[in-house]
Amino acid sequence: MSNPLEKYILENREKFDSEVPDPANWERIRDRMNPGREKPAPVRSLPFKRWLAAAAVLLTAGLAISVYYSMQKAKTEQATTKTKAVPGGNQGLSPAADSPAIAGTMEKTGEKSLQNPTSPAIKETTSPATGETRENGVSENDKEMYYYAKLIELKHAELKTLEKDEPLLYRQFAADVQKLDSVYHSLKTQLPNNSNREQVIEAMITNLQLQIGLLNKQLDIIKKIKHSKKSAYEKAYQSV
Amino acid sequence: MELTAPIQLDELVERCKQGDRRSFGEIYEKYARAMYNTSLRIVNHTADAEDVLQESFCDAFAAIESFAYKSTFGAWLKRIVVNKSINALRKKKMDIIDIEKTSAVHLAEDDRIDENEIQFKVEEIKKAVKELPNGYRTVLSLHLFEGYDQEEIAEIMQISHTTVRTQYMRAKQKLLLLIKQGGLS
Repeated sequence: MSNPLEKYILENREKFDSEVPDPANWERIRDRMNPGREKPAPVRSLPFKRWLAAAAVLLTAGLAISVYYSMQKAKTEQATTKTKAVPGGNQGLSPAADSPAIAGTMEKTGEKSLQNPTSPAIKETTSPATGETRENGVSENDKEMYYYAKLIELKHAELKTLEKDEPLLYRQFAADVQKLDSVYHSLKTQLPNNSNREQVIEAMITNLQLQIGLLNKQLDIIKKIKHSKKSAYEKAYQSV
Repeated sequence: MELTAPIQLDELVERCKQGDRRSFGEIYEKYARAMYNTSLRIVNHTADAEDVLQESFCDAFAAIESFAYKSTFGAWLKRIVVNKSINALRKKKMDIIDIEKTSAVHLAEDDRIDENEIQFKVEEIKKAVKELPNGYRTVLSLHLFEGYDQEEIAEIMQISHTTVRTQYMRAKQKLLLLIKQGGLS
């Protein structure tokens, strides 16, 4: 096909590439490449201390909430001694239900406690007097706590892998989680003798959720540190 | 372009492979314009061509480690741009093949335009290319401007060799007609 047209185009090929792309294209490409390539820089500029501070803030918030719950619990305890307790038949004993009426029911039933054999996370008590709704609420709580406990266990194990590489960081992280966990255990010891069981259980669940949140944050931090270390290594390697 | 300094270019590519950000910028500078024009000739729309350009460079940079010097870097990049451009056309549900619709263009032997009569001008050719239907324009551009042979075009466009051949012949006739008409008016 060596015809005049083909020949002409071949000879003048460069002249056909006369359109100029918008210079903003490069910036957009660079921005799109950022997550993989340039992001490590800002992470590196954010030192460990800042991450630790973030973890500390989270921990403080967790403790504050735990304290708030135990105070609330004490308050409702006082309140329920004054009001007449409403007998069973309350529905919706979900973790969110915490009206004084339910707390009252709980007070009544909590005394005659029965061990729940299906609960691995905590020893829960049920009363035969209050019937099905009560049992449902309890087993739901059980399941929830069991689930959280399992999740925490997994995350602990994941965090543990850090111990070798970053012993200092690991100890600090572990200490933070430990603080939350001790609150959890003190709540747990209060549980059997406490008249306001639902409140305590809720506080325990909140505590477990906080532990998970904290562990997630910690694992996130570790991931970022690892990533920035890797890119620092790569950078060093390139400059050789 | 890359023939002038192939070794330098290979070095640049190597530096990109190691994640050197400045080298990415250099590669972009080197190829952006050619790639943009290649895409523009296919998609025939500046905003679409810019999208193709961005996506192609992003993809190429992300996959640069897999570039194994089986072809030149420019050819590798161009293939990405061409594929993305064709996909962009297809996404817009534009028919990539104009055979049936444009069979009226099927010119009789004596209607054929004699290329030797025409005094070609870059601007006129560019204008005429823009006016071609999508399928014609793509086949014609891939051969005339990007230098792909029939087999390669068949593979790129996923059509048969025969189709490529007939499409090209018709596209060229249509182009010559447009140039002639443009020159007359």
